[in-house]
Amino acid sequence: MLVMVVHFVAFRKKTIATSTPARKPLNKWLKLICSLIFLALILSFITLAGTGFYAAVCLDRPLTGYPLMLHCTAAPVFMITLALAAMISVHSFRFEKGDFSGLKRVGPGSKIFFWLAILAAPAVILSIILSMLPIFGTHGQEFLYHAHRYSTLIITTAGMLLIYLRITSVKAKYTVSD
Amino acid sequence: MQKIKHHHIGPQKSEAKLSLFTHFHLNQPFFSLAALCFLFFVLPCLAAEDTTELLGDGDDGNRSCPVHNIRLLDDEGEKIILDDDLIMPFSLRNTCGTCHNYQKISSGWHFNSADPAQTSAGRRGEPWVWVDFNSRTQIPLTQRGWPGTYKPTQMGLSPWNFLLKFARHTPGGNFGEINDEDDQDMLARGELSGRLEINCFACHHADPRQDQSEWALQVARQNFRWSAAAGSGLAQVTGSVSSLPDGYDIFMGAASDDPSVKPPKVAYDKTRFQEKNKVFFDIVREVPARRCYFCHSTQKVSGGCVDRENADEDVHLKSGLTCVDCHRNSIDHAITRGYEGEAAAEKKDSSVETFTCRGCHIGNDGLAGKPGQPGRGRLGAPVPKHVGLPTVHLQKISCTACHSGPKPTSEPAVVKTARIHALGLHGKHSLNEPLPLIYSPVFVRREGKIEPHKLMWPTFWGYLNEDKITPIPPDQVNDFAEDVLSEGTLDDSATWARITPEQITQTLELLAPEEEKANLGSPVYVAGGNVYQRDKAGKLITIEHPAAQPYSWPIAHDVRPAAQSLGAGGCDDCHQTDSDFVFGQVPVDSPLAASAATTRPMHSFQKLDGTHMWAFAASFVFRPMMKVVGFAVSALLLAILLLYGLKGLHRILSGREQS
Repeated sequence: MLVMVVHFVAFRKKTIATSTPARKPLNKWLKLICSLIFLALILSFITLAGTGFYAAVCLDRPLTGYPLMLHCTAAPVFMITLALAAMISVHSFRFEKGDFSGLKRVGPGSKIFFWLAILAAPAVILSIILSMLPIFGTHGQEFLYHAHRYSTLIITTAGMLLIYLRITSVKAKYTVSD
Repeated sequence: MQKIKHHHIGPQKSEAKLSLFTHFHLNQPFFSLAALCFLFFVLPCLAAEDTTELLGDGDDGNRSCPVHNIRLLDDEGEKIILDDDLIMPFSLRNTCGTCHNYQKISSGWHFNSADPAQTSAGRRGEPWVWVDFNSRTQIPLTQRGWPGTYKPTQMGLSPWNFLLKFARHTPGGNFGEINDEDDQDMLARGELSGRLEINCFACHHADPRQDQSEWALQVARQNFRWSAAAGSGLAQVTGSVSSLPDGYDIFMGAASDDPSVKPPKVAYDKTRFQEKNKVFFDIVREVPARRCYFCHSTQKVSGGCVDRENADEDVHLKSGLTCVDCHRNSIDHAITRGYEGEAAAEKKDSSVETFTCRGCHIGNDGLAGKPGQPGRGRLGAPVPKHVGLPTVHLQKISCTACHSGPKPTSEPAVVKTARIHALGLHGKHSLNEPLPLIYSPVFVRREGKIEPHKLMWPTFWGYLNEDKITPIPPDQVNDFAEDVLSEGTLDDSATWARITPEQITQTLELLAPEEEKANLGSPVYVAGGNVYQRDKAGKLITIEHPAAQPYSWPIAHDVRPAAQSLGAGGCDDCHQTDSDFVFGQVPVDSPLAASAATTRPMHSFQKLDGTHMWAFAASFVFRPMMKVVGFAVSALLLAILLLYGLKGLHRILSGREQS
């Protein structure tokens, strides 16, 4: 959060280079579907992060009760929308030559956090799915529990920073540098 | 409040010393100072508990048990010689006490309930239950003061009457060696019956002729002094103290013309007496399980597999362990009860924590690394893997919840226990009481963990004064209202004689104290989780009160094999919308016909929200789907990572080649 605040204050006005070719405008239905996917992704992400961190930070105990049910209900939504969002966005977020020289429509920071989130996502998902199978004993369950906690920390941080940078880059699109 | 004077076991050394001082001139300054020093420094030492280690105490390192060819002594300390004119029964206090410190032993858990000041009560356990059919009473009693129970003295039970009611399933001691100055019955009959000493043979006599049922019969006949001899199989005892009038001289054995007067007589098996009047007893250090079973048996009377041939014993016993492999003690007989937190609750050494389920099977983290502390796998205990079990279960649920007791069914089974229902008394003396109805297993949350309990519903008359209900002894209730309460029909499906609201109202009216005793409070009837009382208009109303809550105590046996534990069949064993663990129905036992079919859901005892548990269980239907989606999404994301990772690597490498 602190990093986002400092970054926002320091880089409020940005120019945006137009070196990336204009994209073919999407069909309005496809645009709507993509918007819904991203909206569901963000809402489920907020639900998961909210319930998970509430138990960890405020209650200092494992998630139980109705918050756990909410967490488990949002989880499949998050998984599916994450996969779809990844497929939709992956091409835009690939690294290119000159990514670190000048500003792009999708800056290098966003790409780094995108790939970090994609890297952490399987760890988040598999650490909880594998705990549901009769494979790991008590020590394994403890390991998976901690793996889930720390990988969600990574994905949450990366996700928040990614969303922040995307929002600020959209704002910057309308700012003309002097 | 009855005064209980504790009988000092051992010579009255302090009194002997004091008498000497009367010969000195205490007004002399020197002697006054000496007297003061004696009072403050010497007397306490003399009056302190005798902790002398005798011949048979301690450990000489040899694991074999000494052969007990021993001379028998009576309760006066005289040797038993078969040629004597008056042959008395042997006293285990004097016979065993020759080599084993009896006073130290008497402080043990099995013998100290009459004086709970000797030890902490610890976790609540199985109570005695006073059942009176006419007054529709079943009330849990114990001197240990566990919450939800009442002390025998509160119910007007003197030590003498307590012994006659409940000593059948005790190993002696306790109230049997208490001097109560207010107990008129004890004062009148105690000289005749003798003391009910600790019966060492109840546990340590491995001879198959040891008959605890015979011991219980002798206790019922008030033949306390003769009970150990009769139960040992070495002697036969005829007659009964109960037939003797007060003041009868038991030692002179005067003949009586009244045929109903039959003083007890003991006839020893002479063939077992050796030269020098010694007798061999098969005494063992490791108590066989069958000795423990006389008092610690549970019989399932409903819920399937009620026949002995279909019931399985505890898996630990079937694996070769005995009860005392886990429930250990030293000469102090402070037996390990085996629950977590016992060391702190009962002020015992921390090593007792190694005898819990966790201690043997998993290991105690707090004791790990301490010199001499055994780790997990003790006595061959398998180390559980608990595959697929999230660790939160191990924090919120006890080991026994999944592994012990009858497997849960839609309704907990009705069980009987040896101590409460007087099981194990054979022949025409068999009691096998029908009440109280005890349900097991009922999963109850205690100190943050869910564990299986046996549960009963207290039913009794009392006085409500402010917030406290004081029970009324059933005898007093019958004195007031026997005629009213004796009307009732025996329901074929139950063992209560049903009581009607009208009978309750009438009885409460009869029990209403007179003006001068108004401070007793208003009479109430506790039954089926409710408290019934009359309002100002005289109508019967119900109120809630903690005294009406069921009394339950944790169980740990019989332990089922791992393949029969909860969860062995998957998460659905408990996480189902109709699982017995959460949604089983616990009957509310009440003599009122209207309450006969009332039940309470199991989750109410676990302090869980039933709606949440139902919804959570319902969500388990989607778990297989979620696992498939999770794997598919993870595979897709990893494929994306792999694809773009390789593409990126290719571009880097081809870029370098070009340059």
